[in-house]
Amino acid sequence: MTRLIAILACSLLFAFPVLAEWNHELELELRYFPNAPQFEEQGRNAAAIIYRPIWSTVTGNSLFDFRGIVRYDENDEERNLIDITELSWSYAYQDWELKLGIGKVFWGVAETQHLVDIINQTDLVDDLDTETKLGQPLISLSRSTNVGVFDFFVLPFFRERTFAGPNGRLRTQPFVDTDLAEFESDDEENHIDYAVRWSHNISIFDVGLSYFNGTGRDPVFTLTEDNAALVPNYVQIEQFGIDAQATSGAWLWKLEAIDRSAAEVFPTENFQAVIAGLEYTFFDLAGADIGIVVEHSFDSRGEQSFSDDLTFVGARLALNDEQSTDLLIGCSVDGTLCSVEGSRRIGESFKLSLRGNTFSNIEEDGFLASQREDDFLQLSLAYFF
Amino acid sequence: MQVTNQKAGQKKFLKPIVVFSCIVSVLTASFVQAQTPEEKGLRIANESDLRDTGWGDSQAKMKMVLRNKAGKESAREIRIKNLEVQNDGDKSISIFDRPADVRGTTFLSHTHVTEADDQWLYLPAVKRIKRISSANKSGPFMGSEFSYEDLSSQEVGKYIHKFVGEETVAGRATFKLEQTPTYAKSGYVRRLTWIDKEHYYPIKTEFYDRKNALLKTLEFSDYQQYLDKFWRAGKMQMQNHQNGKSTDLVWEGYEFKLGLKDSDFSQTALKRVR
Repeated sequence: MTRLIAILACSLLFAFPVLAEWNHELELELRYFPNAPQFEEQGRNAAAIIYRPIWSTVTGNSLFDFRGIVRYDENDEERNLIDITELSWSYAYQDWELKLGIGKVFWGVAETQHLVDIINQTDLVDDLDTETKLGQPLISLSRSTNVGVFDFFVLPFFRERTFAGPNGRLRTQPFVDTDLAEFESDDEENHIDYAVRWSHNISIFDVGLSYFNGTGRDPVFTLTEDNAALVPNYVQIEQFGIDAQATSGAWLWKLEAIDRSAAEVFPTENFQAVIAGLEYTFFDLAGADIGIVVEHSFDSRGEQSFSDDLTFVGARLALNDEQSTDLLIGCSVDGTLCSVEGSRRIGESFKLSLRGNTFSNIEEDGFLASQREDDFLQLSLAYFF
Repeated sequence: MQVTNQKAGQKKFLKPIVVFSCIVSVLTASFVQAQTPEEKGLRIANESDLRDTGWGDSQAKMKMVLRNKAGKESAREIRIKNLEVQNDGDKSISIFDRPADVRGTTFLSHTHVTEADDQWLYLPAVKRIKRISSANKSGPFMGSEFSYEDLSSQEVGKYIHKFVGEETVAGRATFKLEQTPTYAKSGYVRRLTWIDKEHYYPIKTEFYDRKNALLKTLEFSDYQQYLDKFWRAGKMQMQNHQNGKSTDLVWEGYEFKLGLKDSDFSQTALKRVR
């Protein structure tokens, strides 16, 4: 099925070479870890090179899209990746839209966690923020009405999450052996998943309701018999989600909540979680904007979950200068986790990005214990052509 | 004598009539004069708005050249589609083509005369639509000398328009209006705009900052008429007098009446437009 879609989309892709417009991004990424690794197999620092081709064209009511990624990491082969994140044909007719192929869909409003977002699998080795995704084979039908947009998804193939290998930093102990992945469903990755979403905008409110039925994107871990590795188990779940944002003046009020259920033998996959937050921006302070972000999350799994009763506070700075300089700094209120993100354009075709995370006061048997030596600073230079 | 008396009598009779008609004519004249500068300013702004009513929808390409004090340039390219909305602000969708790192980003704006505008940004790499605050009126647009309020739909109700005189600017006879923003968070205490007396389009605007000091001057040129009715400036040059920077806006490929609909300015369209 996926292969068929890929072949179909590929042939469409090359059927209109004249109208096509190619764009490319080439990125060099350097990760610097000031502390020696905790586990002996782990490398010290790491360089990676990433190439992203992008192609798109419109013919009549049809839209063809392609986005790919090739990533090579010098240290951790689990970070090597060749993937198609988008290869799709979508056809719009009046208030209907049909999409076939491989795609990416984002749902949600929060900044520090993405509870509702579930269509695509996370490319976790790219970034722990779970914002980088793998391509998802899908058929989607969308209908716009006066009472909102209704989206229906059929997801015929499942993608496994990426995890750092034994040589990589920012991993669990023991590491996750993705080759041992197990599935609750006998269909394994061929299980057909479904999703429905309604979204609407009424004055200052943007609201979405969603339902997903199929293979959960978050695995449940078990240990191998020799305790040498973690086994990712992908279980069947049902998830209801709501996301809402109110935008009033310089205030953004955000809410996401989910209710997930699975078979009783997987107690960690039966829970409710909420994240609520606000963002206030002081605009035009000598041209620059400073935004304050606060988000708080609850998780019914309590102490079994890292994100129960967790508050994140951050500040966002946008200089609004010619180079579009921006910086986001945030910390969990207990001080265990801090992150920084920034970028600045250089000339017309380059962009320098900065990323960093610190892990402090992590208990030896607590969450993130295996990452407590993994404070890092990442610099990347991207070239757009 | 009788004749004289009669004449005198006639005079006596005429006098109140003359006085009365004088009073009437003075009153009438003062009634015409009584149109306040604000009323005249509003009449000119309304006429300008009326002459630009009925274009329906349009699209164009905007090229921006940002120039710093040392004369170093950088470029921006944006394609913009507009939809005229009767009795409210217009809708627009913008597609960013340049600089390359923001290529494919799209921006949707539903402007309103009295309420805050609704704005959404679509980030193609993460496929995320973000509803953003429209409270940022005075901040720079893409690092240029144009602020968001300079580029948003210019509705009559957004200002109090006061007629302050007639002047010749760039060889054209103009009405000079002082415009005071009626919305919150404007970066300006007032603007002066020179409106062409023949075509009712703007020739020049001066922007005064919150301290009432001259901040920027915008000059409109290369006007072209479309559909035998609607005038559009081909070039808009903004000079910032306080920081020495300038931004030129060049408009290309104007097209009108493309049959764009409300649904072409929705969040679904925001994801789809290329």
